[in-house]
Amino acid sequence: MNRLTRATAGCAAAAVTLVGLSTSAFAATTTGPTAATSSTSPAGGAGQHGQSLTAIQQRAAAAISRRLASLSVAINDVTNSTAISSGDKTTLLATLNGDVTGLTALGVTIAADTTAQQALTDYKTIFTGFRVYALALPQVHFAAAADTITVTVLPKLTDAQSKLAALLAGVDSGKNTPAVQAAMADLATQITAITGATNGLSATVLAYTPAQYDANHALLSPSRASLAISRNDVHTARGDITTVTKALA
Amino acid sequence: MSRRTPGTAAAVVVSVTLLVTLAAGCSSHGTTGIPSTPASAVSSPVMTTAPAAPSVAAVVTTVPSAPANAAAAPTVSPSAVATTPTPAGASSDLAAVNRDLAAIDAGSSATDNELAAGDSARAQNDDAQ
Repeated sequence: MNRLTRATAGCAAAAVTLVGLSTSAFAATTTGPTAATSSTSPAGGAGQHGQSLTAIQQRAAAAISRRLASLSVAINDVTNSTAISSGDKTTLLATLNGDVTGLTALGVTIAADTTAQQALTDYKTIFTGFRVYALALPQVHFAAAADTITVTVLPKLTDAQSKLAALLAGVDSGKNTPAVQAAMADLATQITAITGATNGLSATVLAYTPAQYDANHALLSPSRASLAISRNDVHTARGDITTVTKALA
Repeated sequence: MSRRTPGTAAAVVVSVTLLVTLAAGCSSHGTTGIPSTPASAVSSPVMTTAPAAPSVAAVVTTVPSAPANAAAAPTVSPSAVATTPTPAGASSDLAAVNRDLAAIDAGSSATDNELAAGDSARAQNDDAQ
């Protein structure tokens, strides 16, 4: 996505600043990894998979930092987006900012963990509790795609349809050949299909939670499929319009 | 009386000549208003006025309701009347449709980018390792 690409560099620095709090907390703990693993408690020395507390904390810090950077870019993109509806923006920003707050707090918690077992448990929450890449960011992009179709593309398809219909019913009635009539009929079919497939789609996508994703990793698949079908329908509708405009030229 | 006889005869001849001339003149004027009698021998002296008659006939043929030109009128006047006001309105509507197409293309491209970005995010590993 171009908007994300453009904004990445600018927002990465801000995200790193956000991560600063948690990473500094990690640093306070990990500056003495040996001491932390050997002096705090026996359980703190190794987690479930034999990882040291320090190693887990470092991995957690990296994972949280990466996600905060991505969230910062997404927040910037959503804020500046002209495609996403205002209602969806509100929902998305609430989700994304909530993730930033939650992940930042989780980073502080993990940095303060004194056992590898606890750190490992908290570390897993980075993924299961937020699903930044598996859910939050796809929610941003899929909602933007749905809104682009419903807010921008569909009205233009409908506008072209009505203008062409008026021409064919009036001054260009002599050019209303069977082929043109077939194209106009298919255009109407495509518009109806796109309208039905995208109606409420962004709201559906935005309503999904990490818990739902954890229970069903294919949670977004139906919405993604609907968007793909609608995108293809837009392509077909565009071809119909081109067929008619060429006949009227 | 005998001296008057030649004068009277001469006067009669002149009168008859004048009458014939007047009669001819009156009859020719009477036929000029009738285009349907161009073959009349009397109208031949009036041929100078004949061009006026065809010009009137030409104006009449431009009137769509003229029955004499009913066969020719449909082939010319409908298309001429229909196409004259069409170009401005039709072309502006087609231009608007082309602008719609451009917006549809831009929206389609943006949609593709969003879908690709969403897929890219989903492709990343979001599970604890």
